[in-house]
Amino acid sequence: MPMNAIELLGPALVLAVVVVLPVRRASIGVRIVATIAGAALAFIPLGPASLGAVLLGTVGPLSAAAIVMLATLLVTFISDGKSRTSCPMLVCLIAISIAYYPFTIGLTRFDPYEFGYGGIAVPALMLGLVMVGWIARVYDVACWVGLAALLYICGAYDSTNLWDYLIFPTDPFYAGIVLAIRAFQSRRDSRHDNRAANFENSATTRS
Amino acid sequence: MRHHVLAALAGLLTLIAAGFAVRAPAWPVAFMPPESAPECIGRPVFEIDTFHVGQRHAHAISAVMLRDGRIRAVWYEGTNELNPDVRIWSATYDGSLWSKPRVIVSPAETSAGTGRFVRKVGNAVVFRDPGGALTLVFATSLAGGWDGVNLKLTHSQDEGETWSPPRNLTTSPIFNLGTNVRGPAVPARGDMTIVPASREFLGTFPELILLDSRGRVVGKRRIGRNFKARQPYVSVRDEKNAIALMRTREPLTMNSKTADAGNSWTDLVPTNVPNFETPVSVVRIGRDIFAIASIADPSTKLWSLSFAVSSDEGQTWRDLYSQRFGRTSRDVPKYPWMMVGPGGVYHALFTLTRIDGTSELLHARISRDWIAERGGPPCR
Repeated sequence: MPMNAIELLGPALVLAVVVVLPVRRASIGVRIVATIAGAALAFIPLGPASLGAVLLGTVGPLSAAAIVMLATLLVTFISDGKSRTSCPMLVCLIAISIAYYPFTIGLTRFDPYEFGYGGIAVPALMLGLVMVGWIARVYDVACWVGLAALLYICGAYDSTNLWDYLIFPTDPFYAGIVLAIRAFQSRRDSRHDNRAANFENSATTRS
Repeated sequence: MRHHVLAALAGLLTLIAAGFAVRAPAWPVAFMPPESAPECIGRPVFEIDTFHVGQRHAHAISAVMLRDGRIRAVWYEGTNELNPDVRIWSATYDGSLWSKPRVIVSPAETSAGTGRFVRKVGNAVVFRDPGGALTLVFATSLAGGWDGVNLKLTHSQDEGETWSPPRNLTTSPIFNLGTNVRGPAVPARGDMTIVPASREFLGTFPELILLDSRGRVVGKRRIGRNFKARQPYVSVRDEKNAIALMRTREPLTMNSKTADAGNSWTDLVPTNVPNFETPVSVVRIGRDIFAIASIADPSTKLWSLSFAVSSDEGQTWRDLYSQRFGRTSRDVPKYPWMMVGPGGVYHALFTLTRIDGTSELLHARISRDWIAERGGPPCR
């Protein structure tokens, strides 16, 4: 089966994350081995096709946004680091998806997907995203947009539509879940801080 | 500092991508002018024969004229539609006999060619590309029904004897799901081909897919979104004007028109063709349009093929003739494909599905004289 190694990058990252997730608290050696084994599953035939070919046949190649978010997650799992997808990137993904996907399924005669085949509308949006990332001083937005542009320039996927390199239907769901978890954690932490502050205050008053 | 460098690099790459996007092919300014209709041949011809008795389900036939005057037909066949045992089959007609059908595309070959696992194949449309090669665009899927299909493409440089490894076509932003084909492709200026298609995932509507000379998808246009119309059959009148006739869940065929080579379309309006959720097929006879549609008698529920003519760009139709097929309401003649063949005769290929799930493929030969005799456009 001919493989487009670049198209398989997304499935390889997905499988690496899935395999390393259960062992993310194991030793660094185990995590690296798990990552390599997971990524290899995308390329090794299992029965009639490799898992990568099955994933490509099911959902197609991943967007640059998905690749950047998966890579960030993988780096965190492997390195015990604190790197995480930035809020500006997550918010941008949700905002674009709300303005984009409903129209692609035929809600109106307007089809924004057509703009991805040519013209300056989508590149202008991408420049706007770069500006947002620059102003917010985050790296991942620039990585996302730069990678999408690079993959498009190279014709890495079979699509000639710039949207297919920029965004993927699961991206906004992932972004929404991550933002919701962070909001919950932030609320819990602030409650915890308030309780601690109240306890300290009452202890000071008693003494 | 690092975020400045990254932003600058991303901006530079985006500007280069913008350069590529601006130079991408635009929608063609004109269709290729349609070929003139054949003349009368001096005798009325209306013959219908079965040319393939499928022991299984054979369906969705399309065809193309070969350089040597033969007709090459392609269809899918298996135990039932979208079953894993379905293959795309082909046979040729030399003016008197049909060749023995053979498989030309299977799911395994498609997986091998595209690098994407494919379990099922479905509707196929064959046409000649601007470079002269035969091109087959066909539906495939991994699982699920017609809303889960996407398109693949393969070429033949030897008139359909051998086919290249299939390639994937990305036509939809949501997992590339739900695009299917049925109607004949339309050649356009600039070495382009417009392939009529339907989107059937999270919403049903007809659309056009623009292929460049390398068979890449370089544009799309939505025909309309109301009535859940699908399977557009585009009939070109001249370089700018065309109509698209579509099946819907309404018991009438829908019509839409373009005056700018398919770049924009009028709202869909119902015609008076009672097509009962099956596609129609049309050919031009001068300023008139000759159509074949499947209709069911409301009282007996028995199905017929209806032959009709329109003189107002497909809005209203007058029946010339109808022929009943089968003995039960489950015997349905459907999915006609009409083209001009050798000898100046129209060839209509269609499926007759049976109550037990098997089907036959039938071949009708119709001359202009017969159409004129029945009250259609007269012979000159």
